[in-house]
Amino acid sequence: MTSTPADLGALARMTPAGPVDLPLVAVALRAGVEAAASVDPDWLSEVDCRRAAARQAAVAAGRGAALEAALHDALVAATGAAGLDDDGRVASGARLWLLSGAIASALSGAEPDPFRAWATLLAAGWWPIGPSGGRLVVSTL
Amino acid sequence: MSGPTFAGEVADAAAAHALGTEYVQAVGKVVTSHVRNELAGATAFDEPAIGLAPGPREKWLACRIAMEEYGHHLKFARLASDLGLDTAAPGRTLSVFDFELTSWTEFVVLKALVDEAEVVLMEDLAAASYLPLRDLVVRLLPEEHFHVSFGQARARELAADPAQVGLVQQAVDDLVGFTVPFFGRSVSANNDTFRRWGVKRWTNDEARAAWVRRCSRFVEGELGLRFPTVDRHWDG
Ligand SMILES: [Fe+2]
Ligand SMILES: [Fe+2]
Repeated sequence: MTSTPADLGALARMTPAGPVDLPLVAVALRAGVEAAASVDPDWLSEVDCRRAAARQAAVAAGRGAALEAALHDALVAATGAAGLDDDGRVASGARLWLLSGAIASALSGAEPDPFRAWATLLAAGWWPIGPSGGRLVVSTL
Repeated sequence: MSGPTFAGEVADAAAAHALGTEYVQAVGKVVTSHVRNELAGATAFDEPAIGLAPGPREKWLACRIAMEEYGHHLKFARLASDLGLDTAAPGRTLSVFDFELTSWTEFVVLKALVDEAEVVLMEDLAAASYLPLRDLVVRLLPEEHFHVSFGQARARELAADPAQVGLVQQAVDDLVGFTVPFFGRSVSANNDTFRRWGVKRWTNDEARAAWVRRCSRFVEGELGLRFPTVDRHWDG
């Protein structure tokens, strides 16, 4: 179930790689997967770096076991869906990528937490995709 | 292999314990090796591959695969704890995890070849006498098939690229060597016990030969590359 946070626009612009000031569009899953194919590569690798850093920081802070336990809960919720096609797997993989980054970031105690705004969107059932084709794209599932 | 083969079905942990320690130990060895190796694979290969992926689609599929492998680890761990086994005890992981992953090309070849080895093992366990194990691998096999087909599809694309084909061949040569020991020694007291209790049906050499057949057909028939000569026997 997707619910729409009142501050969807503000949350979406606070991406894990920093603020993105582009026109916001919300699209359905199919269009989201298409937009996802041309997400800004620099933005993508910045999120990847921050995700990897958050995981390292969580382990360094002695929260490795907590990370494993929290990932477990996230996985049960997220990977249970059998019979996904490739597009469904891309969307689910993207959300898991953000979610695992958000869990690690929260456990590492990072302040400000770069993943917090998008974690709120994920929890509300959105798939925030990123900057693509001059727009900032979010999708409903 | 000595003694008659057990032909019954074992419904749950209590029934396994009723059969005796040897049965619980046999199932336990198989289950705990999966607990370790699914986690080792996710940590050594799938999580790092997320950072090596060339584009967003590949990155997120790699993440989905990493999470699925991690999920396999958790599901085997639950099976082990139901049996009252200690999975925290240190144990060997397989030699294939010594392979150092440095490129996306290696990752896709790894999914095509090494996950096929996992599929062979799981297909054997899909007839295991211990029903909770049988049920689990039947549920996990579609995900392992997806990992293999993901690797095969990308390996086909890369093998058709003149700039990549040499790297694909190199990855095949390296990974086949690392995977041969995956199935265990040709002479194996453990495997004898697994078969006597109906946990496995195949000898280690039979499983290895099935893997070589599938992978050589893929590498030579579909990639148009050379599959290294493999001795189906392995004595460590
Ligand atoms: Fe697996
Ligand atoms: Fe796999």
